[in-house]
Amino acid sequence: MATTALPRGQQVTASQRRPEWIKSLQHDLGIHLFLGLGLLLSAIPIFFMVNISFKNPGQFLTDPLGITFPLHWDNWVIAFNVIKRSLMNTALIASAV
Amino acid sequence: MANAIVAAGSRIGGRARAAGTWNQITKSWYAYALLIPSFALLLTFIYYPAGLALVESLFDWQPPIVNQFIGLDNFKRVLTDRLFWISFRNLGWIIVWSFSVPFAMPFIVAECIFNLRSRMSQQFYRMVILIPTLVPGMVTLQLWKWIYVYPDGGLNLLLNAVGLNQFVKPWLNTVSTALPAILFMGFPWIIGSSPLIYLAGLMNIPGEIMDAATIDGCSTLRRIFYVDIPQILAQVRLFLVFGIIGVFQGFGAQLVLTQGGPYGATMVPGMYLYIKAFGIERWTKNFPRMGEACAVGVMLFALIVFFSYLGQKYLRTSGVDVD
Repeated sequence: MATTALPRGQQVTASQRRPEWIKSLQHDLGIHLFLGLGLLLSAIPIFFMVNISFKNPGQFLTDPLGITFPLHWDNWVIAFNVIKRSLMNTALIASAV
Repeated sequence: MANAIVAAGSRIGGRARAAGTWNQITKSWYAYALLIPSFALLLTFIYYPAGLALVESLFDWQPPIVNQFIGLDNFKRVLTDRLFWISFRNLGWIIVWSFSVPFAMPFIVAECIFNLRSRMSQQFYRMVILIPTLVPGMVTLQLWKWIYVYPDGGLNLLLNAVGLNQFVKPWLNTVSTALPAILFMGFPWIIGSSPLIYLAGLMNIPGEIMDAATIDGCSTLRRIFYVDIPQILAQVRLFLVFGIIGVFQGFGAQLVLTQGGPYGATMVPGMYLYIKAFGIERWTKNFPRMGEACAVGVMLFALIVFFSYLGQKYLRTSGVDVD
Protein backbone atom coordinates (compact mmCIF):
# COMPACT_ATOMS: atom_id res chain seq x y z
CA MET A 1 0.00 0.00 0.00
CA ALA A 2 2.71 2.45 1.00
CA THR A 3 4.21 4.42 -1.85
CA THR A 4 7.76 3.94 -0.54
CA ALA A 5 7.54 0.21 -1.28
CA LEU A 6 7.09 0.85 -5.00
CA PRO A 7 10.15 0.40 -7.26
CA ARG A 8 11.57 3.59 -8.70
CA GLY A 9 9.78 4.98 -11.72
CA GLN A 10 6.71 2.82 -11.34
CA GLN A 11 3.36 4.53 -11.87
CA VAL A 12 1.48 5.45 -8.71
CA THR A 13 -2.26 4.89 -8.95
CA ALA A 14 -4.66 7.81 -9.17
CA SER A 15 -5.98 7.30 -5.66
CA GLN A 16 -2.48 7.57 -4.22
CA ARG A 17 -1.75 10.79 -6.06
CA ARG A 18 -4.79 12.53 -4.55
CA PRO A 19 -4.01 14.96 -1.77
CA GLU A 20 -4.99 14.09 1.78
CA TRP A 21 -7.81 16.62 2.06
CA ILE A 22 -9.61 15.23 -0.97
CA LYS A 23 -9.38 11.73 0.46
CA SER A 24 -10.86 12.80 3.76
CA LEU A 25 -13.53 14.77 1.91
CA GLN A 26 -14.46 11.64 -0.04
CA HIS A 27 -14.67 9.68 3.19
CA ASP A 28 -16.73 12.37 4.90
CA LEU A 29 -19.04 13.30 2.04
CA GLY A 30 -22.10 11.39 3.20
CA ILE A 31 -21.75 12.76 6.72
CA HIS A 32 -21.38 16.29 5.35
CA LEU A 33 -24.59 15.91 3.36
CA PHE A 34 -26.51 14.49 6.33
CA LEU A 35 -25.28 17.06 8.85
CA GLY A 36 -25.58 19.89 6.35
CA LEU A 37 -29.21 19.07 5.66
CA GLY A 38 -29.98 18.72 9.37
CA LEU A 39 -28.29 21.98 10.22
CA LEU A 40 -30.03 23.76 7.36
CA LEU A 41 -33.39 22.59 8.69
CA SER A 42 -32.40 23.62 12.20
CA ALA A 43 -31.32 27.02 10.99
CA ILE A 44 -34.72 27.85 9.49
CA PRO A 45 -35.93 29.45 12.74
CA ILE A 46 -32.97 31.83 12.65
CA PHE A 47 -33.81 32.85 9.11
CA PHE A 48 -37.46 33.37 10.00
CA MET A 49 -36.62 35.32 13.12
CA VAL A 50 -34.37 37.75 11.27
CA ASN A 51 -36.56 37.95 8.18
CA ILE A 52 -39.83 38.57 10.01
CA SER A 53 -38.17 41.18 12.24
CA PHE A 54 -38.07 43.46 9.19
CA LYS A 55 -41.75 43.13 8.28
CA ASN A 56 -44.73 45.22 9.27
CA PRO A 57 -48.00 43.33 9.93
CA GLY A 58 -49.21 43.86 6.38
CA GLN A 59 -46.03 42.46 4.85
CA PHE A 60 -46.16 39.49 7.22
CA LEU A 61 -49.73 38.65 6.22
CA THR A 62 -49.21 38.99 2.48
CA ASP A 63 -45.77 37.40 2.22
CA PRO A 64 -44.59 35.73 5.42
CA LEU A 65 -41.79 33.74 3.78
CA GLY A 66 -40.06 36.02 1.29
CA ILE A 67 -37.92 39.04 1.88
CA THR A 68 -40.06 42.16 1.57
CA PHE A 69 -39.11 45.77 0.92
CA PRO A 70 -38.94 48.30 2.41
CA LEU A 71 -37.16 46.78 5.40
CA HIS A 72 -38.80 47.99 8.58
CA TRP A 73 -35.91 48.88 10.83
CA ASP A 74 -38.38 50.74 13.04
CA ASN A 75 -39.41 47.33 14.47
CA TRP A 76 -35.98 47.14 16.01
CA VAL A 77 -36.29 50.60 17.54
CA ILE A 78 -39.68 49.76 19.04
CA ALA A 79 -38.46 46.41 20.34
CA PHE A 80 -35.36 47.96 21.83
CA ASN A 81 -37.44 50.57 23.64
CA VAL A 82 -39.58 47.77 25.05
CA ILE A 83 -36.72 45.62 26.30
CA LYS A 84 -34.40 48.47 27.37
CA ARG A 85 -35.49 48.21 30.97
CA SER A 86 -35.35 44.40 31.08
CA LEU A 87 -31.88 44.45 29.53
CA MET A 88 -30.79 46.63 32.44
CA ASN A 89 -32.34 44.10 34.84
CA THR A 90 -30.48 41.29 33.09
CA ALA A 91 -27.23 43.20 33.40
CA LEU A 92 -27.92 43.75 37.08
CA ILE A 93 -28.63 40.07 37.73
CA ALA A 94 -25.60 39.02 35.68
CA SER A 95 -23.34 41.33 37.64
CA ALA A 96 -24.83 40.13 40.94
CA VAL A 97 -24.01 36.53 40.06
CA MET B 1 -10.70 31.60 57.48
CA ALA B 2 -9.01 29.49 54.83
CA ASN B 3 -6.38 28.50 57.40
CA ALA B 4 -9.08 27.34 59.77
CA ILE B 5 -10.63 25.12 57.13
CA VAL B 6 -7.28 23.62 56.19
CA ALA B 7 -6.53 23.02 59.88
CA ALA B 8 -9.92 21.36 60.32
CA GLY B 9 -9.29 19.18 57.32
CA SER B 10 -5.87 18.09 58.53
CA ARG B 11 -7.23 17.35 61.96
CA ILE B 12 -9.95 15.14 60.49
CA GLY B 13 -7.37 13.45 58.35
CA GLY B 14 -4.93 12.91 61.21
CA ARG B 15 -5.55 12.36 64.89
CA ALA B 16 -9.32 12.52 64.90
CA ARG B 17 -9.86 9.76 62.38
CA ALA B 18 -10.19 7.06 64.98
CA ALA B 19 -12.55 9.14 67.10
CA GLY B 20 -16.32 9.04 66.76
CA THR B 21 -18.30 11.16 64.30
CA TRP B 22 -19.51 13.51 67.02
CA ASN B 23 -15.95 14.11 68.09
CA GLN B 24 -15.02 15.08 64.57
CA ILE B 25 -17.98 17.44 64.32
CA THR B 26 -17.12 19.25 67.57
CA LYS B 27 -13.49 19.55 66.59
CA SER B 28 -14.20 21.15 63.23
CA TRP B 29 -17.30 22.99 64.35
CA TYR B 30 -16.39 26.12 62.45
CA ALA B 31 -16.47 24.23 59.15
CA TYR B 32 -19.97 23.13 59.99
CA ALA B 33 -20.86 26.63 61.14
CA LEU B 34 -19.80 27.92 57.73
CA LEU B 35 -22.13 25.43 56.09
CA ILE B 36 -25.14 26.47 58.15
CA PRO B 37 -26.14 29.56 56.08
CA SER B 38 -26.21 27.55 52.85
CA PHE B 39 -28.28 24.80 54.37
CA ALA B 40 -30.60 27.25 56.09
CA LEU B 41 -31.30 28.98 52.78
CA LEU B 42 -31.69 25.64 51.02
CA LEU B 43 -34.19 24.45 53.60
CA THR B 44 -36.14 27.70 53.56
CA PHE B 45 -36.40 28.25 49.84
CA ILE B 46 -36.17 24.79 48.29
CA TYR B 47 -37.26 22.15 50.77
CA TYR B 48 -39.90 24.12 52.67
CA PRO B 49 -42.04 24.90 49.57
CA ALA B 50 -41.71 21.32 48.35
CA GLY B 51 -42.70 20.00 51.77
CA LEU B 52 -45.54 22.50 51.88
CA ALA B 53 -46.90 21.05 48.62
CA LEU B 54 -46.93 17.64 50.27
CA VAL B 55 -48.92 19.01 53.22
CA GLU B 56 -51.25 21.14 51.12
CA SER B 57 -52.19 18.15 48.97
CA LEU B 58 -54.31 17.14 51.98
CA PHE B 59 -55.98 20.55 52.20
CA ASP B 60 -58.81 22.19 50.31
CA TRP B 61 -56.71 25.21 49.38
CA GLN B 62 -58.37 27.91 47.32
CA PRO B 63 -56.23 31.00 47.70
CA PRO B 64 -56.53 33.48 49.18
CA ILE B 65 -59.31 32.44 51.59
CA VAL B 66 -60.11 28.75 51.96
CA ASN B 67 -57.53 26.41 53.47
CA GLN B 68 -59.11 23.46 55.17
CA PHE B 69 -57.97 19.93 55.93
CA ILE B 70 -59.89 17.39 53.86
CA GLY B 71 -57.72 14.29 54.01
CA LEU B 72 -57.31 12.43 50.73
CA ASP B 73 -60.24 14.10 49.00
CA ASN B 74 -57.95 16.00 46.62
CA PHE B 75 -56.48 12.74 45.36
CA LYS B 76 -59.96 11.29 45.00
CA ARG B 77 -61.16 14.30 43.03
CA VAL B 78 -58.17 14.26 40.73
CA LEU B 79 -58.21 10.51 40.19
CA THR B 80 -61.89 10.55 39.25
CA ASP B 81 -61.38 13.40 36.77
CA ARG B 82 -61.48 12.11 33.22
CA LEU B 83 -59.24 14.93 32.04
CA PHE B 84 -56.51 13.71 34.40
CA TRP B 85 -56.48 10.28 32.81
CA ILE B 86 -56.56 11.79 29.32
CA SER B 87 -53.47 13.78 30.28
CA PHE B 88 -51.71 10.56 31.26
CA ARG B 89 -52.73 8.84 28.05
CA ASN B 90 -51.19 11.76 26.15
CA LEU B 91 -48.12 11.58 28.36
CA GLY B 92 -47.79 7.92 27.41
CA TRP B 93 -47.66 8.84 23.73
CA ILE B 94 -45.18 11.62 24.44
CA ILE B 95 -42.91 9.22 26.36
CA VAL B 96 -43.05 6.62 23.60
CA TRP B 97 -42.20 9.23 21.01
CA SER B 98 -39.57 11.25 22.84
CA PHE B 99 -37.50 8.18 23.67
CA SER B 100 -37.43 7.05 20.06
CA VAL B 101 -36.41 9.38 17.25
CA PRO B 102 -35.71 12.60 19.22
CA PHE B 103 -33.67 10.53 21.67
CA ALA B 104 -31.61 8.80 18.99
CA MET B 105 -30.94 11.79 16.74
CA PRO B 106 -28.36 13.55 18.96
CA PHE B 107 -26.46 10.29 19.26
CA ILE B 108 -26.54 9.75 15.50
CA VAL B 109 -25.25 13.27 14.96
CA ALA B 110 -22.50 12.73 17.53
CA GLU B 111 -21.46 9.53 15.77
CA CYS B 112 -21.42 11.38 12.45
CA ILE B 113 -19.17 14.10 13.81
CA PHE B 114 -16.99 11.53 15.57
CA ASN B 115 -16.49 9.56 12.38
CA LEU B 116 -15.44 12.58 10.33
CA ARG B 117 -11.91 12.10 9.14
CA SER B 118 -11.13 15.79 8.90
CA ARG B 119 -10.39 17.36 12.30
CA MET B 120 -11.26 20.79 10.96
CA SER B 121 -14.76 19.67 9.97
CA GLN B 122 -15.23 18.20 13.43
CA GLN B 123 -14.40 21.53 15.03
CA PHE B 124 -16.68 23.30 12.58
CA TYR B 125 -19.72 21.12 13.31
CA ARG B 126 -19.15 21.26 17.03
CA MET B 127 -19.41 25.02 16.84
CA VAL B 128 -22.21 25.29 14.30
CA ILE B 129 -24.49 22.82 16.05
CA LEU B 130 -24.85 25.22 18.96
CA ILE B 131 -25.81 28.28 16.93
CA PRO B 132 -29.51 27.44 16.43
CA THR B 133 -29.92 27.21 20.21
CA LEU B 134 -29.31 30.96 20.33
CA VAL B 135 -32.84 31.50 19.06
CA PRO B 136 -34.98 32.07 22.16
CA GLY B 137 -37.31 29.16 22.86
CA MET B 138 -40.35 31.41 22.71
CA VAL B 139 -39.47 32.46 19.16
CA THR B 140 -39.23 28.82 18.11
CA LEU B 141 -42.59 28.07 19.71
CA GLN B 142 -44.27 31.04 18.04
CA LEU B 143 -42.75 29.99 14.76
CA TRP B 144 -44.20 26.49 15.07
CA LYS B 145 -47.50 28.03 16.06
CA TRP B 146 -47.44 29.97 12.82
CA ILE B 147 -46.49 26.82 10.87
CA TYR B 148 -49.62 25.04 12.10
CA VAL B 149 -52.00 28.01 11.70
CA TYR B 150 -55.09 27.61 9.48
CA PRO B 151 -55.38 28.50 6.64
CA ASP B 152 -52.21 30.52 5.98
CA GLY B 153 -49.68 28.74 8.17
CA GLY B 154 -46.39 27.45 6.81
CA LEU B 155 -47.44 23.81 6.64
CA ASN B 156 -50.73 24.60 4.92
CA LEU B 157 -48.99 26.90 2.44
CA LEU B 158 -46.59 24.08 1.67
CA LEU B 159 -49.41 21.56 1.21
CA ASN B 160 -51.23 23.98 -1.12
CA ALA B 161 -48.06 24.57 -3.10
CA VAL B 162 -47.52 20.86 -3.78
CA GLY B 163 -51.20 20.26 -4.53
CA LEU B 164 -52.21 18.30 -1.43
CA ASN B 165 -55.10 20.66 -0.75
CA GLN B 166 -57.25 18.00 0.91
CA PHE B 167 -54.82 17.77 3.84
CA VAL B 168 -55.02 21.47 4.70
CA LYS B 169 -56.44 21.77 8.19
CA PRO B 170 -56.07 23.66 11.49
CA TRP B 171 -53.41 21.31 12.79
CA LEU B 172 -53.45 22.44 16.39
CA ASN B 173 -57.25 22.63 16.57
CA THR B 174 -58.00 19.16 15.24
CA VAL B 175 -58.28 16.47 17.91
CA SER B 176 -56.48 13.84 15.87
CA THR B 177 -53.53 16.01 14.78
CA ALA B 178 -52.93 18.33 17.74
CA LEU B 179 -50.72 15.97 19.74
CA PRO B 180 -48.72 14.70 16.75
CA ALA B 181 -48.21 18.32 15.71
CA ILE B 182 -46.76 19.15 19.12
CA LEU B 183 -44.61 16.02 19.06
CA PHE B 184 -43.21 16.95 15.67
CA MET B 185 -42.00 20.32 16.92
CA GLY B 186 -38.28 20.54 17.25
CA PHE B 187 -37.68 18.65 14.01
CA PRO B 188 -34.94 17.52 13.23
CA TRP B 189 -34.00 17.23 16.92
CA ILE B 190 -30.27 17.59 16.37
CA ILE B 191 -29.35 20.96 17.78
CA GLY B 192 -28.35 21.76 21.32
CA SER B 193 -25.81 20.45 23.75
CA SER B 194 -26.84 16.77 23.70
CA PRO B 195 -24.83 15.85 20.58
CA LEU B 196 -21.81 17.53 22.15
CA ILE B 197 -22.22 15.60 25.40
CA TYR B 198 -22.44 12.34 23.44
CA LEU B 199 -19.44 13.44 21.42
CA ALA B 200 -17.44 14.11 24.56
CA GLY B 201 -18.35 10.62 25.74
CA LEU B 202 -17.20 9.11 22.45
CA MET B 203 -13.91 11.01 22.57
CA ASN B 204 -13.34 9.68 26.08
CA ILE B 205 -13.38 6.07 24.93
CA PRO B 206 -9.82 4.77 25.49
CA GLY B 207 -7.79 4.69 22.30
CA GLU B 208 -6.69 1.10 22.96
CA ILE B 209 -10.28 -0.14 22.62
CA MET B 210 -10.71 1.72 19.33
CA ASP B 211 -7.37 0.42 18.06
CA ALA B 212 -8.27 -3.13 19.06
CA ALA B 213 -11.56 -2.81 17.19
CA THR B 214 -9.75 -1.51 14.11
CA ILE B 215 -7.14 -4.28 14.20
CA ASP B 216 -9.86 -6.91 14.55
CA GLY B 217 -11.37 -5.56 11.34
CA CYS B 218 -14.44 -4.12 13.01
CA SER B 219 -16.68 -2.22 10.61
CA THR B 220 -17.88 1.21 11.69
CA LEU B 221 -21.44 0.01 12.24
CA ARG B 222 -20.29 -2.94 14.36
CA ARG B 223 -18.00 -0.66 16.34
CA ILE B 224 -20.90 1.68 17.06
CA PHE B 225 -23.05 -1.14 18.46
CA TYR B 226 -20.40 -3.18 20.30
CA VAL B 227 -17.94 -0.52 21.43
CA ASP B 228 -19.40 2.98 21.32
CA ILE B 229 -22.84 2.40 22.83
CA PRO B 230 -21.65 0.26 25.77
CA GLN B 231 -18.92 2.81 26.45
CA ILE B 232 -21.21 5.85 26.56
CA LEU B 233 -23.97 4.34 28.67
CA ALA B 234 -23.18 6.94 31.32
CA GLN B 235 -24.28 9.67 28.92
CA VAL B 236 -27.29 7.66 27.79
CA ARG B 237 -28.35 7.25 31.40
CA LEU B 238 -27.95 10.97 32.00
CA PHE B 239 -30.21 11.82 29.08
CA LEU B 240 -32.65 9.10 30.05
CA VAL B 241 -33.09 10.46 33.56
CA PHE B 242 -33.18 14.09 32.44
CA GLY B 243 -35.56 13.07 29.66
CA ILE B 244 -37.92 11.34 32.09
CA ILE B 245 -37.94 14.36 34.38
CA GLY B 246 -38.40 16.79 31.49
CA VAL B 247 -41.15 14.80 29.80
CA PHE B 248 -43.15 14.32 33.00
CA GLN B 249 -42.93 17.97 33.99
CA GLY B 250 -42.88 19.72 30.65
CA PHE B 251 -45.87 21.63 29.38
CA GLY B 252 -44.32 24.72 27.80
CA ALA B 253 -45.43 23.90 24.27
CA GLN B 254 -48.95 23.09 25.44
CA LEU B 255 -49.15 26.29 27.45
CA VAL B 256 -48.12 28.47 24.51
CA LEU B 257 -49.79 26.63 21.66
CA THR B 258 -52.96 24.84 22.74
CA GLN B 259 -53.62 25.30 26.47
CA GLY B 260 -54.27 21.57 26.55
CA GLY B 261 -57.02 21.76 23.95
CA PRO B 262 -58.81 20.86 21.75
CA TYR B 263 -61.00 18.84 24.15
CA GLY B 264 -57.95 17.77 26.14
CA ALA B 265 -56.20 16.29 23.10
CA THR B 266 -52.88 17.82 24.14
CA MET B 267 -53.41 17.87 27.89
CA VAL B 268 -50.44 16.62 29.89
CA PRO B 269 -50.07 16.21 33.67
CA GLY B 270 -47.95 19.35 33.99
CA MET B 271 -50.54 21.40 32.14
CA TYR B 272 -53.30 19.81 34.24
CA LEU B 273 -51.44 20.85 37.37
CA TYR B 274 -51.11 24.36 36.01
CA ILE B 275 -54.79 24.80 35.14
CA LYS B 276 -55.78 23.44 38.55
CA ALA B 277 -53.36 25.72 40.36
CA PHE B 278 -54.09 28.98 38.58
CA GLY B 279 -57.54 28.44 37.16
CA ILE B 280 -57.43 28.89 33.40
CA GLU B 281 -60.68 30.37 32.09
CA ARG B 282 -61.14 27.67 29.48
CA TRP B 283 -60.95 24.70 31.84
CA THR B 284 -61.69 25.71 35.39
CA LYS B 285 -63.47 29.05 35.00
CA ASN B 286 -60.74 31.02 36.79
CA PHE B 287 -61.31 28.94 39.88
CA PRO B 288 -57.97 27.93 41.35
CA ARG B 289 -57.78 24.72 43.34
CA MET B 290 -54.28 24.72 44.76
CA GLY B 291 -54.92 21.63 46.89
CA GLU B 292 -55.73 19.49 43.87
CA ALA B 293 -52.73 20.93 42.03
CA CYS B 294 -50.51 19.92 44.96
CA ALA B 295 -52.01 16.43 44.88
CA VAL B 296 -51.13 16.15 41.18
CA GLY B 297 -47.65 17.45 41.97
CA VAL B 298 -47.14 14.83 44.67
CA MET B 299 -48.21 12.05 42.32
CA LEU B 300 -45.94 13.36 39.56
CA PHE B 301 -43.06 13.56 42.02
CA ALA B 302 -43.58 9.94 43.07
CA LEU B 303 -43.77 8.80 39.45
CA ILE B 304 -40.63 10.70 38.45
CA VAL B 305 -38.68 9.28 41.39
CA PHE B 306 -39.88 5.79 40.51
CA PHE B 307 -38.99 6.00 36.82
CA SER B 308 -35.66 7.75 37.38
CA TYR B 309 -34.73 5.02 39.84
CA LEU B 310 -35.81 2.39 37.35
CA GLY B 311 -33.76 3.99 34.58
CA GLN B 312 -30.66 4.25 36.77
CA LYS B 313 -30.92 0.72 38.07
CA TYR B 314 -31.74 -0.91 34.76
CA LEU B 315 -28.86 0.74 32.94
CA ARG B 316 -26.40 0.08 35.73
CA THR B 317 -27.03 -3.67 35.91
CA SER B 318 -27.26 -4.32 32.19
CA GLY B 319 -24.37 -2.35 30.82
CA VAL B 320 -21.25 -0.57 31.58
CA ASP B 321 -19.13 -3.42 32.99
CA VAL B 322 -17.81 -4.65 29.69
CA ASP B 323 -14.97 -6.63 31.28
